Amino acid sequence: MYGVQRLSLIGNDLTVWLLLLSCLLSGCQLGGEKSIQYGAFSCEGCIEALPINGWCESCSHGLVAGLVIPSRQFHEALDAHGHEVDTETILCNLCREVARQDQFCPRCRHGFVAGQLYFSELTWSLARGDSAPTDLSCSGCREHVGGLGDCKDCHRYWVGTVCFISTQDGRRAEQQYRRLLVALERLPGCSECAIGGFFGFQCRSCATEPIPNPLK
Amino acid sequence: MSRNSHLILFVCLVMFTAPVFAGGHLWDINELYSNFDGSIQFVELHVPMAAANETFMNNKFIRSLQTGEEFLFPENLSGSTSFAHLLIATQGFANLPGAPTPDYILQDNFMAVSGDTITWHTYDVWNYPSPALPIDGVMSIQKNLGTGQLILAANTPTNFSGDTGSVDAGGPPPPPAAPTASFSIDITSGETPLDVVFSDTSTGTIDSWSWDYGDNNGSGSQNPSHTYTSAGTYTVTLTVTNAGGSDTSTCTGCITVTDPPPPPSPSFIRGDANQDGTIDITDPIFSLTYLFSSGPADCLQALDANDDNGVDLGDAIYILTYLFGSGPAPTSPNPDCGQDSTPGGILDCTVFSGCP
Repeated sequence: MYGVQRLSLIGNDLTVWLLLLSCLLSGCQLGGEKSIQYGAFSCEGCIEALPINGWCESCSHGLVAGLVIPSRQFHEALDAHGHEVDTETILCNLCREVARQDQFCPRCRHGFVAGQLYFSELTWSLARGDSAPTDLSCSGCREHVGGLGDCKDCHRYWVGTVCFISTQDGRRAEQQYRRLLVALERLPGCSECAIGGFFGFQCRSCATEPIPNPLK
Repeated sequence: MSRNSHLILFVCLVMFTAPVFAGGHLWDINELYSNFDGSIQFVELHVPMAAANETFMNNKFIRSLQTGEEFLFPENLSGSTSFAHLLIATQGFANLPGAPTPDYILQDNFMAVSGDTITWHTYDVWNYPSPALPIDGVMSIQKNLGTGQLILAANTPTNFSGDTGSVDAGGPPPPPAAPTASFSIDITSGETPLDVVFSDTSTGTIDSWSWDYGDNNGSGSQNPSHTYTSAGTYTVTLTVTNAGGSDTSTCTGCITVTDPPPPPSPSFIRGDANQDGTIDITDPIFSLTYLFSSGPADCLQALDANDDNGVDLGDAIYILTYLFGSGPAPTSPNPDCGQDSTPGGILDCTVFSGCP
């Protein structure tokens, strides 16, 4: 299971546990994120935020799959980590069913991985991968990390800093990642066009259409 | 116990005792209600699962796309949010008997009654009609939490404390009685062009008037006027309408319009073809010139010496016989100027210069 795999990466390093604790105290409800050093981010806050899709106070931006989210509002709306809920208490019949199968409920737009709830198809699909994995011994992967595509050497699929064993899972996450890129392009002009558009709403101010899902 | 073990124990203790914050993502729109004029409305949110920490509501919004109104949560919540409800309602709703106390007050006419898109932050959106927002004071749009389908049911507003109830804001007022149509006309007959003034005498509340003048023209004014330009008999119809219905009053054939009579012909002397005031040999010569050399003639009635309503060789012969034989004189008007005593026929007389 993905959650177990992520938990296994934590190991016994106390600094990782302290990092986990700090994230919990700063408002995140986490479930199995790990610590990792990625060369692209020199800021200590970013290094801590990267694997948990968190907010870097030092740089005042958030991270989701390695993408910089410059708007705190947008980053909070994405809320790109798992949430502990008792999935058997969910009143939506379909949600309860898909939660048992780690799937996405199109009715409520909630996804489930290892008993945790994700608030969008993006965060759910990313959660099915391995966020910022420690093992980058594969040279192909080192070329792909942070981008999009299939590592021909070890057949892992990269979506930003998230690595997928399943190409199908990777491509599904890629669709949502590309939608996020469209939203980030809109962000400087109108935050509602970006945030609302990403979540499927028409912008009230500009009447900009929602970002298609899937992208055409 | 090693130093590391103490630290792990400490971390675990903190993890299980520290407050765990979460967002407001798991709130969904659960019920929308409005009376007929939008003065009594509520939006109810709901957490449809055991999620106790959906408390971060500060500055999150509920918006109406149609009215442009926005409600912003002024604060975060405190208390468990598992299966909780939030009631945001107008003051008019709060004043109704049986209404649970709203958690927040919503501005009047927040939602458009006829159709709207209600957005709860980036988390949920409801569109109506489909189903349409009921405005009977009792029913509301609600979500079947098991299937996710939107349904119509008697309202069940519930606030964060769990207080629930049901209200009856009354339905829309009954429509007014249909009006009774009637009208009067200032003139019912005359020559073209005939100006007619129509006066509405209908009773009841009237929203609109529709006049049909019977000549393919009409008006939407209450008291219009119209000019008939063609002869004929016309039927006039007035239809008056309000929210309760319409009524029609018809006046069949009540306006008769005639063409004006032709202008009177000038006085002339029958047989005085050349219009010199006397009948002599020059007159049959004038007639023959008219007949056979296309000479001018302004008063054919004068040329019609034998009064047979035609101008031909017989008229010239008639004059010659009168002048040189024993033929009778031309009939009236003759020898004095005057009108044709036997009107009719097709002969015209536009000018006759032989009369004073």
